[in-house]
Amino acid sequence: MRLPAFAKTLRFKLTLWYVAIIILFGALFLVAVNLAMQQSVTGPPVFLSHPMAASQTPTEIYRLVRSTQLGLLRNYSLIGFAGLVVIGAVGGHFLSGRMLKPVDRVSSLAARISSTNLKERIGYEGPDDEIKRLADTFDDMLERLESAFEAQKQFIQDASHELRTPIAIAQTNIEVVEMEERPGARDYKRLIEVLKLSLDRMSKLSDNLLLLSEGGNDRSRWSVVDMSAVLDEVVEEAYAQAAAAHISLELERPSEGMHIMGDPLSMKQAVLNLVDNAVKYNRRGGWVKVSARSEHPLVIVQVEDSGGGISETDQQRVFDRFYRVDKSRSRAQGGSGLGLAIVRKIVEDHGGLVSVHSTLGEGSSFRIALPHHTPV
Amino acid sequence: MRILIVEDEKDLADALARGLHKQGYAADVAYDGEEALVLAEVNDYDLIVLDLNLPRIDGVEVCRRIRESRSSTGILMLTARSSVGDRVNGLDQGADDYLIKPFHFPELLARIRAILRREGPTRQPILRVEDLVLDPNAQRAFFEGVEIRLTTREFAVLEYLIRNAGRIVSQEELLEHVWNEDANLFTHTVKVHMMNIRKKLSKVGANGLIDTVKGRGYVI
Repeated sequence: MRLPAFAKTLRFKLTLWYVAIIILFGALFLVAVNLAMQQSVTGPPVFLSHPMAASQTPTEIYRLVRSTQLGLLRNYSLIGFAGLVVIGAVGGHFLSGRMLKPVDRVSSLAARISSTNLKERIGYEGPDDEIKRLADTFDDMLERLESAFEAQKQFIQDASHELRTPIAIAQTNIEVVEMEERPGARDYKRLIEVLKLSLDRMSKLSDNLLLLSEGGNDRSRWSVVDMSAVLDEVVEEAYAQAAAAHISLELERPSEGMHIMGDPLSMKQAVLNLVDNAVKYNRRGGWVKVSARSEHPLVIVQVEDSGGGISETDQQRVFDRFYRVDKSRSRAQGGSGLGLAIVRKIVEDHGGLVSVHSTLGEGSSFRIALPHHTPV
Repeated sequence: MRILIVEDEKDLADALARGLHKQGYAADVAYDGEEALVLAEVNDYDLIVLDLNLPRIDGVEVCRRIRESRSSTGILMLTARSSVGDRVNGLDQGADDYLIKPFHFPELLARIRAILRREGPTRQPILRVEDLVLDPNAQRAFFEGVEIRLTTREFAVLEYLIRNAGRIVSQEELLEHVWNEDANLFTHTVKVHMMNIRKKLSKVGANGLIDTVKGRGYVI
């Protein structure tokens, strides 16, 4: 027989238990009172057993009977009451223990869980009641915690892997010079060059890791940001780099109505990373176009380039941390593999979305969509 | 002994090549998997130092393909990935040993020597033919206890002959194993080195150790 959902809840069960107990108590009480009354009715007349029975007036007899009956009623109901208190205490203790046992199990497991054994689950098997829901919610939370911890672990592994390479370069170069019997000035000069590059790489990596962990989350730094002004700054900053690579940098934006709510510095970083990539992975003599427009209720920022484009499979992963489309080229350009991951983190922290459209051989277009801010 | 270094980090690869060269090895460098396969096809390397994380063709795949065509070449993997699975996979695809980045250069040298010993007829770290003793680790040679002062290249020629003792080694084979791609390859070079080695050997009384087999090469 299938029970309706409400019948499975703990609340319903507790209600049933209490109704049962009250019925039981009520019945006991009734029995006690009835016994008392019966005894007073069926026993020998009180006035006969009274020492002065013979000389009593009917009024006195009547009073005597009444007080005896009341006394009996009082005694029995007091006994009944005491009995009910005892039964109620014992029954309540037993019943609440029974009901709360699963809660105990949940809490003892919760006490056992630490960051190292997030794999444990309560796995509560029982009727679909509040306890089961509590246990399931708890398991769900553990599941989410576990995957968050896994992701964090993976990230630390990736970051340490990324750090190992410049360390290996520095170490090997030092040890090779050390093994030389009489190292010359040229050896030292080359060593210093290599060490400088390795240090650059490590410091850029640590800067980027910090950027990635912060994103645009710090609301105390948020203010109304004019994206048009942000684009102006970005283009100004990237201009020299683009000119050096013989790439023309175009900017197209309306002069107003491009306001969003957010952290101006991290927003600038996000657009700068896109423009930086567009310049780096371009062809000589190519172009980069930075534009902004309003598509109510969104502000759209677009960075297009005339580079080699990104394949479909790579497009799905370009925003992943430490993913590089062309590893050797990215490293040669001083890339840390974090630029686009930082863009995504910042944009998503601002409630926006970043996407890429690209055709191999025809260039790429990155698009940031952010919620528009209308001043009140 | 000729070694191919496959590593996409140029600063690391070049430093390794310089260091190995100083130790008397002939070292070439490939910066990606494709280049590595081409070089390994053209030259007969005694050992390949192979980074696992390579552009174009992955290191494990390079390892597998080299093993298909050459079984005797030693392969030493370098990896920054320290997960057990990666290392097991690399070894299963035919690598002889692995080293985790960052590593110490002297340890790399020791592991290279260990792999080269496994390839040769003797597993002794010290090479010996009659009273001629070579210590590849210290790069020193002795005859009856007296040290012979050899240049790194002369030492490498002698080491190769001893490692292949009893077998005739041609001038071309010596060129292939003792000099790298950048060297001016003329058999004349070998002749000059051989002349110098013999001179130095006879100075300490070691005459007639190396025989010339006309038209075929040299044998110890």
